[in-house]
Amino acid sequence: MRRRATTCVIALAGLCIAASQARGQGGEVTPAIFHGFGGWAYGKTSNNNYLSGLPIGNYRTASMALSFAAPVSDKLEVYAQGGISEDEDESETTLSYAFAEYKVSDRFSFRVGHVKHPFGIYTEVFTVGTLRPFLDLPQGFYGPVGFAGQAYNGVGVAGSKDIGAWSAAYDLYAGGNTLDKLHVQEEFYHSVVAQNSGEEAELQSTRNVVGGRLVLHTPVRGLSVGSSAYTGTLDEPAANRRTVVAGQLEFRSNRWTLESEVGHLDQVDDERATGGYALAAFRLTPEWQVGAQYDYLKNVFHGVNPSAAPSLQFHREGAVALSYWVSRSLVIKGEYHLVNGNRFAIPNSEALVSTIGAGQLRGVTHLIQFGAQFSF
Amino acid sequence: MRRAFAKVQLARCCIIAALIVGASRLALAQDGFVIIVNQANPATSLTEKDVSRIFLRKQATWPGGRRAQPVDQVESSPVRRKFSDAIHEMDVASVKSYWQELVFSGRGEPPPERASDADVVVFVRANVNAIGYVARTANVADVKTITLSK
Repeated sequence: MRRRATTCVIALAGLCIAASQARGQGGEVTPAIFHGFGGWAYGKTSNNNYLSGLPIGNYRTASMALSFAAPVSDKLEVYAQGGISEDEDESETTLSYAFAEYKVSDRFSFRVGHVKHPFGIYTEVFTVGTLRPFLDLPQGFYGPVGFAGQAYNGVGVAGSKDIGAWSAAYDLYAGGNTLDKLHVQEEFYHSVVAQNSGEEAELQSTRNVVGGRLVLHTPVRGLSVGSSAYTGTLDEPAANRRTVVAGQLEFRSNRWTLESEVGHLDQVDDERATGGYALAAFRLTPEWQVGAQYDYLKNVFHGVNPSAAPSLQFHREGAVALSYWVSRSLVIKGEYHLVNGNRFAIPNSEALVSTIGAGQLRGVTHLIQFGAQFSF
Repeated sequence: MRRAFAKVQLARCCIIAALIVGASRLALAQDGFVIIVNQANPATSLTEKDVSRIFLRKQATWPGGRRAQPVDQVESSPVRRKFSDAIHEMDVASVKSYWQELVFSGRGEPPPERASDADVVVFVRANVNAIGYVARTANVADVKTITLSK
């Protein structure tokens, strides 16, 4: 962990030095542009651990990130973002992205490095709280199930083109990706959870990845529809093929946010998952916003008998939120979530086996959480 | 027969109302602000969609390939509010969210902001590829105003 944090800091420092020398068109020195975001949340559940919530209450969920863009020349720009987050278990330092983009035209740009994963509506802004109505993204699609990583390592192209009153934005990429996966359920079914207690999530790498995203913006302002997909092989001896496809529908206006996404994961001879969500939010005034969402996920693990605890395979959730936007750069949110299933809402992994053995695993979890999120 | 006639009349009224709304929105735009470019810029007119695409950086270049340099006014500016409503059909806060999304996904930076009409004029005067907007009452002596069309 310390090595990764050091690498992250060195990379950012190097990019900052490069940025300080950046030159824009006409030869004038163009300074790097810095932005950042972060937040804090308190959560309390009726039972199980879920999002920022613990049964005893949890004040420790906090995060902060810095990003910058450095125009090196008229067509070449360097982007980087790194952050640190803390929860009840640990602190984590991450390099969200660090890549260079060479823009040939609006229709075609070339990207190389550790690039934000263009998948669905939110994967590229996964951690930015001021871009969504809830403190967290819907877990049925964005939870640690493995639909998408936050970034890919490799090369990609992107661009957009008007087609009459429509416009299309595309991304194509190749390389590898790494994603967080909550695997304690699968390990329980394989009877290995007791040996690995304490590590609920694993980083899973996929290599030889090829993928893309296409989003069509309709003539109705704010209405878009799109699809994302990628395939690759798991970076482990079995090298199972892993394929993920997803669809998205979105409408945004000054007052309304209406969104829905569905995704399907197929990991050959390993697991399948299908999940999605529908979300609606409405601004009563420029400051006050109400939101509601429903999300679900169904996981099927290959070659296991789930009868001991079938609720570890699914997640169904309804949630409502009330937010006060001081500005688009600072929002205070309060939420209630009702969860059915234990795919994401689970006891501590150390206690999972004994809880299930005692017949005390509770499938329904209530969560209240509130917090603040900011960006600049 | 009478009912059919009434339907036709209703349809005509709707079309006329839509035209009035569209025309009044354009009139509002042209009453509230003017679009300015450097005097060396050969452009003489732009559509609202072109202007919106340039300011949202969906269109990076002028016809001919020169890189466009839009300059915005600060968020609290009344003329920016009129510009956003008329050209982007979004309020200033929604435009800010649009930029947050692009910034944090590493897909672009918003145009620089200037605090007053005079500062925008100075920027446009100094940059041959610049485009800005100022209140109709602003002094635009050393820059070129261009015609805005639907």
